[in-house]
Amino acid sequence: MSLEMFSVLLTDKACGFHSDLTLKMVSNIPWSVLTFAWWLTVHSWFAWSCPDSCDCFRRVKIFCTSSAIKEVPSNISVTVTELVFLETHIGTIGNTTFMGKDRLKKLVFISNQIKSIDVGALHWFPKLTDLEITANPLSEIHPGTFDNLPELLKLTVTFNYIEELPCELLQKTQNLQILILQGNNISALCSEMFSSIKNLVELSLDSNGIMHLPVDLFKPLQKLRVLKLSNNKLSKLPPGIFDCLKELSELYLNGNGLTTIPGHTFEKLTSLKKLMLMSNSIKMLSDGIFSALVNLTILRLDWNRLEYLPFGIFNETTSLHILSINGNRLQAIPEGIFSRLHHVKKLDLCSNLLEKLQNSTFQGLHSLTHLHLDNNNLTFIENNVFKDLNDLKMLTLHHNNLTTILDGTFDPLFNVASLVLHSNPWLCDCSFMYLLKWIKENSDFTQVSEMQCEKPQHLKEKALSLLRKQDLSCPTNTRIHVPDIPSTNDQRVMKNAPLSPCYLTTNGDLHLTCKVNVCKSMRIHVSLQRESNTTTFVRDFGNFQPHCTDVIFNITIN
Amino acid sequence: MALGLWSFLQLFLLCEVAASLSFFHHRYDDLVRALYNVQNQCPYITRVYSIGRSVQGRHLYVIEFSDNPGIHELLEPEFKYVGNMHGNEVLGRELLIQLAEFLCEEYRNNNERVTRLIQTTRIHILPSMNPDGYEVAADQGPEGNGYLTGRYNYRQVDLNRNFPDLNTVMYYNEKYGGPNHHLPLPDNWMAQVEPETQAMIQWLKNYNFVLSANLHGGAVVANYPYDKSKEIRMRGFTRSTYSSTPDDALFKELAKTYSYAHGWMHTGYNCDDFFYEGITNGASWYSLYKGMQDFNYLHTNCFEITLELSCDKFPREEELEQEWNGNREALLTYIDKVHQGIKGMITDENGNGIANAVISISEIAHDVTSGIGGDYFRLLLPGTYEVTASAEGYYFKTVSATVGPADATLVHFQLKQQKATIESRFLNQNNKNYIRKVVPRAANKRRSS
Ligand SMILES: [Zn+2]
Repeated sequence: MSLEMFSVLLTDKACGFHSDLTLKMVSNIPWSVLTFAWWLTVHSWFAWSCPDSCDCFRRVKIFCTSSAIKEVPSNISVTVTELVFLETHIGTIGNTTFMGKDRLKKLVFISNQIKSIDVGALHWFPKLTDLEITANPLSEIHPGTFDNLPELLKLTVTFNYIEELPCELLQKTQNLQILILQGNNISALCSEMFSSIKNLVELSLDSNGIMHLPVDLFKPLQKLRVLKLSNNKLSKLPPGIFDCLKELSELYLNGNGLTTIPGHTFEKLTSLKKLMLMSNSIKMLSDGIFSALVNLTILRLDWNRLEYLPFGIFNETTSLHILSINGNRLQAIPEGIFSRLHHVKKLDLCSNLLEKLQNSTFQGLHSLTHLHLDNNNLTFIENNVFKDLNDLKMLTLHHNNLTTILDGTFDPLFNVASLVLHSNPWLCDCSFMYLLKWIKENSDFTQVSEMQCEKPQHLKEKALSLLRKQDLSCPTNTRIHVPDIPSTNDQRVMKNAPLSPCYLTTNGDLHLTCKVNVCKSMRIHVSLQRESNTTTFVRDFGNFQPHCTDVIFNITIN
Repeated sequence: MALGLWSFLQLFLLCEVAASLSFFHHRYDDLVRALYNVQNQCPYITRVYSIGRSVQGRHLYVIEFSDNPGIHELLEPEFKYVGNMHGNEVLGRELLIQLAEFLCEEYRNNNERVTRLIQTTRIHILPSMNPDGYEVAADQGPEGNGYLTGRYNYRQVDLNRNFPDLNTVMYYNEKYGGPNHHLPLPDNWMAQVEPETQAMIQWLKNYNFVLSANLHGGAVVANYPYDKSKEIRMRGFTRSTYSSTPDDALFKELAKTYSYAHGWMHTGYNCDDFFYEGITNGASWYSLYKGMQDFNYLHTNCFEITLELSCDKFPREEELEQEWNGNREALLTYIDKVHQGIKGMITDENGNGIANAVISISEIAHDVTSGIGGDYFRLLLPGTYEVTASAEGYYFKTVSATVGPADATLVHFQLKQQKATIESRFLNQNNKNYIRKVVPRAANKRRSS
């Protein structure tokens, strides 16, 4: 048995591989075996047969998918390059099971009964690039199992029962680019677990039971682009844990138990495009936590416990396209907090405790197409709140406490295609006229959800689609010419004249309009009678023209 | 309170970026791994099963999404997507893999819409109906992929010309009397069709599908039945002509649902061709016979349309993400459509479900039948309909039902057993109910017109 040994010494640097480990390059394939393998290769051309219960394609791809298969068939040709075992009852893989299959490039075990893999079982594959072991009752992988797979690019060991990985398991798979360890029971990882796989591009540790991460764990992974740590039991992140991941573009931390995130955690991740923090227990975020993330396009903070957002938190994340903060406990949005997010297309603030929206709340969100505000406690929306949202396509406001929409509120929404307003206690009185008109005028372009009146009592549960303008008990706002006011007696009382054109606006202003022919002067008396109190306003108007003239009066009482 | 929320949800996900999707062409083993990976990630809402094998022995794997995978829950409609029936039309295959990954991922992320969809619908996804043809096409790859390389199955049969021809029977019945739906198969149908087709037909028999789409490539248009025209002979040459089903308005609406939710299909101008609103009647485009779409409508309760999704039958890998973004919303919205119309239970006086009861809509000469447990689903456009349920040995019942734009209206029927069931079959020929049961709708219609 030939045995080569050499050692590698690397200089210590802040990022990258920084321990002086001695690497053992073991080539433990006996020559006699190699010769035998060659003989098999030659021999197989003369007697090729597909193993029972397997499907063979062009003699190089073999699929074995039968519960009748209890062990790896012995007559697998050495010419095979792809080998898949799916839902078989194979229980173990022995040291010699795959002897001679040196052309194999892809080896896949999914949903078998594999409980153990001998330490040398996978040492036969100098060309193997893709290895998958998924959904097997495998609880242990021995140190050295992957030591002879120099070409391995993708390693998938998922949904098994593995609780621990040997620290040196990946020391020899130096070309590895993708490592997927999702769905095992791994609770901890050694600090130097990834020290040799410096070419790694994607790492998934999703759905394990990881509670702590060693602070140096990711230091060697300077080429890493995707890191999935979702659905573990992380309650905190060590300071500096991601500091070396300069290429990282996607980071998944959702589904952990994080309550806070240290302020500098993301400060080196200038390439980050996607940050998933949903379903944690985050209560607060520091002001500058995202300040380095100038390339971030997707930020999801849903289902946390955020009670407020610090004012400057989104000042630097100007590349954001999607910002999602639904399912938190936000009561208010600081004014202008989104004002630099000119590229955000979707903003999701559903299921918070928001009470009102101010004119400046969505200032600057010029690209916004989707705004979700449903399931809050909104009682009041200022009427200029949507003024920058000319591209908005969808707006959801259902399940709030809105009673009315102020005049002009939806006027900036030229492009809205869907407006969801149901499940609000709409007050269908004259103040509702604006919204009713808006809906009727825009119904060709906008789908509006089915709404019902809550008040007044006689309109309760009346569908908005059936509501007519005259139901709103609004006097019509048409000017009425008051005819034949005699001009001879300028003391004459104008009985009943201006009553019909009076109406009350949503702001509580009372408008009266009338047209009167005035010759000399006119005194206007307005008396407000309320129970026993009577208040009277008196205004005088003089006509300085030499002749009688028509005067239109607009009287506003507020 | 009916919220009518269903139709308004359609824009929810437009710009949501699906998490960690990998866009590459999945060979057979990649496809299998991807489906099993989804199954392992979402074990409580998914199931992977095979409906049969291709000529070369590849499995036709389906991934099912449901809150109770493997079980038909009464009143929960069954939906299916079929991809890659033509081996070289590969976009559907990739989109359906992405869809499966997306549904799982979003379900895990508590996406409200996806969760609701899975809780109310049983979704079956068959990414590849022709895995053998795909391998032939994939060996060539996107570059230099011939128009036909890999289209057929291993025995060089076009699977979309391989179903028993029921259109001819239907057109004959239309003329001379006879049913125009649930047409029986010829006795020797198994011998007539390829293994892939046989697996498909068996699948259709095993599940009471309500709505379906068959994903193709080579154009960008949503195509609805019939595909086969009545071949009008004009001075010696034949030309294709619009061939409408009794459910024409509904089919148009279904096709539009997809085209308008799709990124660009609805514009109509695609692949140097124009289709108004991105939809077309199959026969008016070009007539084909023995296709799967017409077969679904003529033999089963399922309404199927055919989606042509890309100009390039074998798009380059770099184009896949954009295609997914253009189709994702449409794929979801179309599934929603399975909830439009009426549904309900057909039961006897003791509350036991009656299977194979016939549900007819006046004015639409196409009946549906109840499933094994007695539940039925009838897709309908909003409106008011007269609905009749009848079953052998029971008195029929007619009610009026109003369909809204939102979820299906529940219309249950409890049918009274006829007193002399056995005798009535032979003696009671004048019984109106009995006549209604045995005389097919098409014949009825003919007589009355
Ligand atoms: Zn096709």
